[in-house]
Amino acid sequence: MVLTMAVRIGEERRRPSRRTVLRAALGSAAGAVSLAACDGPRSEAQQLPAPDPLNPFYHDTAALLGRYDAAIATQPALAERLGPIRDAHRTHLEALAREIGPGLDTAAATSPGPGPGEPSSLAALSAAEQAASAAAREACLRAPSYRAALLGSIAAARASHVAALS
Amino acid sequence: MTAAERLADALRAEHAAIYAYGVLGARLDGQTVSAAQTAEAAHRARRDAVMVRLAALRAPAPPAEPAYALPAPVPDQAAALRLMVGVEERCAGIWRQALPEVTGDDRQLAVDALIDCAVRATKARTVAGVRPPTVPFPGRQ
Repeated sequence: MVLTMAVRIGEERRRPSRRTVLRAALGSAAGAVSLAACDGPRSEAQQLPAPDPLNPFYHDTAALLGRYDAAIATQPALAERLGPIRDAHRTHLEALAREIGPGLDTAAATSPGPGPGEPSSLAALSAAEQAASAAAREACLRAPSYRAALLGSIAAARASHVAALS
Repeated sequence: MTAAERLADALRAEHAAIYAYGVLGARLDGQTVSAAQTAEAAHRARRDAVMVRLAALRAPAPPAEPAYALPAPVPDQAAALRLMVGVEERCAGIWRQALPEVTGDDRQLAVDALIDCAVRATKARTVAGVRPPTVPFPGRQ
């Protein structure tokens, strides 16, 4: 019973690898001896964490932030209006990085932002926010409970950006 | 707290929001009052949706109070807009708190309510001249 609880908590927080579940099952079925037997250094080394499902969302957030950086750089007159929205996206990015933790895929984080031809008009930014809000809403609906509030607030913030840009 | 208890909390907040709009609507000019009427209708629709959901769960649905204590007097349009922002922020907070406790259709109900509250708060801040009109994490207390 205790073991069942431990595995369920693992699912909630980290989504255990198949190997973790298998080891737990072996442990309960065959006892501590067989658990120790398959717990050598080699199996530890192979136990890579599954990629965090929030990684693509994190990188899309970084791209959205990049669009605001580009828009403010090319249209300084819009800085006062766009600055707080840009800062919100940066705050979201930092919160997502903390949420993902060691599972953050930093290799893809160096991907370049939008190209110079990316439209940065208010209408284009508003359309991007609309799509990004819908994506965050979907992510919230699919998320485990402990991530629902963060993603819901990000969806709401992006929708409010659409209102602020209109 | 169970999902039904979170939904009951949200229902109480929607009741209070509807009451507040009844008070603040009387202090708004012609241009702003239509936005408040739209917002009030949205809160009524959300209230009804939560009541349907609680009935399906066979959970008690708290009734509206006859009156609610407002955070400040509402003598003019500026105060009415401040109250509108406050009502939407409070509702956003309640719905955000519900999110981790609910799943499926209830999660959808909660996130859509949170989104709508954040948008209405931003519109009210814009009319009130609050800069910036947005907050980074709507509903986070």
